[in-house]
Amino acid sequence: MFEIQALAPDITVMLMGVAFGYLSGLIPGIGLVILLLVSYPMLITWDLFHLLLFYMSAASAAQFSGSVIATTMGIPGESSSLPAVKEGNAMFYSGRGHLAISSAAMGSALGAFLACAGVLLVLPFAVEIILEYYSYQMQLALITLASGIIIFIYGRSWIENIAIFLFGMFLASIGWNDIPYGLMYESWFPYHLLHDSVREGLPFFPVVVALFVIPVLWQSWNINQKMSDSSKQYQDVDSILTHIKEFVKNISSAIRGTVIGIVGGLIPHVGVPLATNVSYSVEKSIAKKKGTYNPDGDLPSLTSAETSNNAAVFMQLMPLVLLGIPITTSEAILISIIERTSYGITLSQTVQSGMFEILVLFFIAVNIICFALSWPLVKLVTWIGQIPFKYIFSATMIILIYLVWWQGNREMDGIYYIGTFLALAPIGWMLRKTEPIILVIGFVLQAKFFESFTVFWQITTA
Amino acid sequence: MLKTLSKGIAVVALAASSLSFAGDKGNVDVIIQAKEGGNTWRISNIFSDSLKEVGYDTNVIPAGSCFNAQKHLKKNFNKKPTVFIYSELTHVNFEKRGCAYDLESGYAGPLYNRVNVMCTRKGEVADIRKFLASKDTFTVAASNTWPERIFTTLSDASGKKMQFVPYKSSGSATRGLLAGDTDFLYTGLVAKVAKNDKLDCFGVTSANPVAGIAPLNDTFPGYEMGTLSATWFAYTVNMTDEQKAQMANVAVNLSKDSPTWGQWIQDSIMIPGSDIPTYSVDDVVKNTANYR
Repeated sequence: MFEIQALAPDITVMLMGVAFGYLSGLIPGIGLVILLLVSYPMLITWDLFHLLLFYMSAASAAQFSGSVIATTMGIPGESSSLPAVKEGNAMFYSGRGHLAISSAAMGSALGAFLACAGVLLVLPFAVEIILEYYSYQMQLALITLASGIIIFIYGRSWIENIAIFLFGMFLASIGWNDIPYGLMYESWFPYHLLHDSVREGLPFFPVVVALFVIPVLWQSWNINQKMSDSSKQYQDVDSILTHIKEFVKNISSAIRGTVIGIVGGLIPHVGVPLATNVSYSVEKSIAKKKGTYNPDGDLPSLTSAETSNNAAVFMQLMPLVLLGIPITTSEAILISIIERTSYGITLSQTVQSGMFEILVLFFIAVNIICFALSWPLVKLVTWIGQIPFKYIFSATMIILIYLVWWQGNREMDGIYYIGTFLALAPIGWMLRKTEPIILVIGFVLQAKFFESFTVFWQITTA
Repeated sequence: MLKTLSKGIAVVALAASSLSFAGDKGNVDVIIQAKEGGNTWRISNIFSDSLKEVGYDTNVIPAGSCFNAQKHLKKNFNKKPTVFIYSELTHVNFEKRGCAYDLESGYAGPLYNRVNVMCTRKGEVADIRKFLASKDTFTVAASNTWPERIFTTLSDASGKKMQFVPYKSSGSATRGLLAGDTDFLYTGLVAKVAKNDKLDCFGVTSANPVAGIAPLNDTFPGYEMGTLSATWFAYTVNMTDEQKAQMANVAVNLSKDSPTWGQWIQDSIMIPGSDIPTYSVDDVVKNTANYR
């Protein structure tokens, strides 16, 4: 009884993460990043464990709900839901939607469990290797890789992306910089001409709302909101045993998906969608070679993709938990919250303190909960599908602008926060046809990049 | 029945008196002007716990930076008595940021004095003199809060180039040394450095050996910053002269009166405030010059 009481705050945070994650998976355009921003006032009061627990729960739940809305309505709630849109929705229309949802849920849970087991198995060796070899060269290489991948994969042109990335770094370099060598030291920006608070640097929250949320919501505004066919009703006439038998038939597809998810999840920024789509393509080509591919919705391909995405979700947390390096935009938001009051994430805080093992246990619990909720969720999806997305986007923007003001006042700097937002909002609008996540990554990685570069510079010029 | 009732009343009265004793010196805010995970964070929390042990009620304010701390003090409309740990090194770094405090008005009393230490990776350097003779340039990992003069004067004393490699914190600098980034580590002598079995520390900035580590001047004769140390002291805001005097007394005697603080000072191999009771604000002002 005592233990349950002691765990109550952790369980509450986990359930909140699941609820927020479900919502972010259900509404196209409102991804994990925007939901993290909406929850900002709550998150800044939490400690590292609860932040990681919330994030992990939300990221995993988003994969479950993304699959459900993709299957029942043909809408990709998450970027990794495209296989579910193609195969799951086709199955839904051929009267097998219930099997698509159950196999996706079982696959997601299995992928998560196998990824956890794999990580726990290699963790002691990984920790030793990191302590021994995580030098400045490796740090600089990883940060360059994480930035390089996003610059060269996303958007229309890598030249444009480099410019956006550098602009993000430029904005982050305004104000006091803690690295005493390199290009900037003390506040090089003539802050006193604008506002005294500029010497502290630009506040993260209004910068991200102006330069990330505005372009993203603009891009999502014109999303095709026409449902595939909302009159189609979900029906499940099979017993739970039939669902399990169907899944077991495709267990080899699920295991292949897990392996691809574990490897793919480590690739910065594109890990989850990449792993999902690669697993899907591999499974589809195997089925086509065997002549077993079902054009009315192929369950093995769907199972592989859905297993892969949750394995990848867990794996993409590893660089953050072990090295403190964010490899997705939502992780970048998370680290910026953590770094408000701490030096970031280190091995001693996460792994050596035993926190990571507890997080793994919660991750398993999250997957069991999400698995159990997948069926009741279908009704919620039908209900949410009736709300015009434009209303949701407008409400989100209004809430975020209010939060800029609220957060500013909390920091005794309401005018500065609103001023920063208003000054950058037109630039955000100008960036509407670009990939604004590149700017956020540049903004968040600037300090780490400068530290690694300064160490590199000092050592190589010694 | 009456006997049971009177026993009950006695227990309640005892509990109430012990509760009131816990906070009989009043309620103070303890501001932490550094980020979580660093030494200042840890020490400030120990300081807060120790103040509770000597009769204060404390409320920890995790400001994270001097900028946020000053905003909090401005917001603190009811002028609540506030205390935080501050040092010569911190003061100079806050000066650079433009958020330093006036030493004269807030200095209460010394908490402890801390020396610095130089280390290599365990088992990698058998003879420090032979190692120094083996090449012309050496790299030294250190937190970016240290002034560069520490390393330029070390270069002068050793006749070798001692390149300062700044990290964002002493923890990062230690990890950098252990991963093979640099030849040496320069850091404050705290418990986690003294107890780190992956480090070999060969010199302290003190005239005498500390915790079995020889003075740095034995390795680098004539090193002008070979006895550099920093004193951490209690800095008060919104306190009356009487409250400030009381806090000064608490600071000096904390290692004797608080089991937590006393144990921590002992584990950290620091000189307690009770050993330097006359350390004054003039001494603080004088020592800050070493960090500029």
